[in-house]
Amino acid sequence: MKNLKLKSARAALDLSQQELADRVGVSRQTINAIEKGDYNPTIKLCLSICKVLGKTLDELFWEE
Amino acid sequence: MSHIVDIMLLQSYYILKLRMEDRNMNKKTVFVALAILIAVVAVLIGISLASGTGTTTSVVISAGFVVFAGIIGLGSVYTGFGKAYDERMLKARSDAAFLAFLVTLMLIMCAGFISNTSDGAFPLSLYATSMICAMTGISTFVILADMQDAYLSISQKRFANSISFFFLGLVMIITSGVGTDRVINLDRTATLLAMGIGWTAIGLEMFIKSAADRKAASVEEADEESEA
Repeated sequence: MKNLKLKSARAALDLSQQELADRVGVSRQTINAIEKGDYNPTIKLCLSICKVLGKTLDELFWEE
Repeated sequence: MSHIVDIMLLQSYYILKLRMEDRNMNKKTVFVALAILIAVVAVLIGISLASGTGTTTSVVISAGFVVFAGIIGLGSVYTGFGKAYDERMLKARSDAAFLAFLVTLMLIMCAGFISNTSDGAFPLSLYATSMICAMTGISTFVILADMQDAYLSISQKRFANSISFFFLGLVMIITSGVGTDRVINLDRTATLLAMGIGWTAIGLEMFIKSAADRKAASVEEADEESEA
């Protein structure tokens, strides 16, 4: 399932996938895979992404 | 014999290049793997020497394979640079390696049973069959790993790599027929064909992936522009 919340949060900070990937410390392909729903990140990676985007786990990764 | 050296040199270049991307491998697992390899190779050489069929060449080549594995394994322990990998890539490599191992294992089993049930009429020698199984396993791993962007060094230069693999694969297929001695050697043909088809398939997969990546990148760019 696509993670549109992550994409919106990234867009709100005007970050490209590559910029977000660089700040989190992963590859651009990994950010792309998470946004497309092709990869389930570990909690550690989720927390890293949340810290960079200034959001909580629920705001970015909770499935409604 | 010369094509074995060519194959090993080309493969070793790519394997070493890809291994340098990884963090240091666990020492214990590497030493256990090498110990198993050395033990089984020693048994095979022992059997060939005891039966009087062993030659200096077979011992040297077998030792060469063990040394090759040792260089890759020990090089992974002591020289990994740990750059540019993340958890998704690690999982992708793990999945690709497992599936390639499964394919190789099943191929070897199938080849063995097919040969066994053909009353000695199976046209391919043990050498040719083993090369086909090994090359198929290697090709499977590279294709599956690249499909999931498991290696950044390949992803970043995918189009150039696809041309290289495609070209080398075609050269191997073309030269698999008759060698400079103008004699058809089934072992050489089977090896070069297996290698050539595998590498051509890798080149084709990389070409398709690079086209798909370019399309996805342009869609992503348009998407981001519209959001801005």
